[in-house]
Amino acid sequence: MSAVVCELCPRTCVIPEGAAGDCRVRVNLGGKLRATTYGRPSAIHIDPMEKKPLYHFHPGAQIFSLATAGCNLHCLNCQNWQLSQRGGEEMEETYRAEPAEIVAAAKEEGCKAIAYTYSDPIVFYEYVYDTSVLAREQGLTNVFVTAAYVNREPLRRLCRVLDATNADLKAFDDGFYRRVSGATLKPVLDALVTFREEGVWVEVTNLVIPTLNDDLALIRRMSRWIAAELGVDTPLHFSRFQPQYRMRNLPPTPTDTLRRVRTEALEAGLRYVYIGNVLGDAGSSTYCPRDGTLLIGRSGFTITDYKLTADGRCPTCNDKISGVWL
Amino acid sequence: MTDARDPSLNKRPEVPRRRFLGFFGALIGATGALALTHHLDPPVARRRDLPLREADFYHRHDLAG
Repeated sequence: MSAVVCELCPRTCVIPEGAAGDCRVRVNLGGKLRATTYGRPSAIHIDPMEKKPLYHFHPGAQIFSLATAGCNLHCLNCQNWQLSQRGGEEMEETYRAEPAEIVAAAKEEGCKAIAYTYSDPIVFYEYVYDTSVLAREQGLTNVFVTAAYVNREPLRRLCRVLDATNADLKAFDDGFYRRVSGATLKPVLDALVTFREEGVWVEVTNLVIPTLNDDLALIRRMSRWIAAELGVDTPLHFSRFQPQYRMRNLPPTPTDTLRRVRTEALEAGLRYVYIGNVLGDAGSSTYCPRDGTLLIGRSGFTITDYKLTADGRCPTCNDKISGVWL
Repeated sequence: MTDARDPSLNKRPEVPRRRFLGFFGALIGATGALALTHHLDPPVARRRDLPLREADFYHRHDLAG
């Protein structure tokens, strides 16, 4: 028996011969660890950048988005559980697409960026890395949408070919991570700092779940940590929870709660705080932190107003707005 | 009046039986054709003949004892 130890994520799974890791897709075959979903995506779509969500990175651009089966987290409220909580062989639909084919398809569709998303792309790490290298050679950017439960060494290597990330910070509470996601908080915080250190554009998403992580004191601590460790210009997205998968016992997040947590984060010093999954709310638009001018108006994933100058400044006060603009 | 002793009245109707056999045969044939297609061109995820990429970031586990 030749077991292997996967070093990709903090779980460090010890995988006996013939078995898969906790993510279901990294399998020990003959004493060698195989990435069984490499070149085998199960979801391919073209999305608006705002869906990731990324609000300060090429706003309004179309992004070629793909995912394979598997995930290294097991969130009770997962919205993509049909994809993430399965191994590759359990999927009804799996395609065959080598990295070069993905890059060619993205270009053919007129997309200037590729997103590794939907499930957690950490579990198809090698596929992300190889595709990202080719994409960058062809002038495309790479976006990584993740829960950031990954070890530092693999992440540092990956950051060299990434341009932006939207990382989940599910709660500033280790107990929440253990109970709801089967993970721990500290590696996620370390990964967020690593993204910033490596020069990847970072936006953070916090899904606000009623009674579980909507305590204002918790929101304040999280916002202060983001301001101190990632910078006050880091966009923070508060998303509305919808009951699904194994968490159908809680109601959707009330809009008032989202507005309260947004105010709390702004008061904690963050300059760009958004409300997500609420159609048409004023909190999903970008305002100048200095004079309050509406800079980018949004309704859902649609941009309704765009007033930033060509070099990303407020047209009223000429203040530089952080981001990677068109 | 119908004669109850008429043997033709007790004869099983042939047409429904032939229809049933025809339907059953078509079902078996279709299942066989599907199985053959699946065997010749299986879903991507089940095709072990396609190369599986070796993962990065792992090491052999040294079992104690």
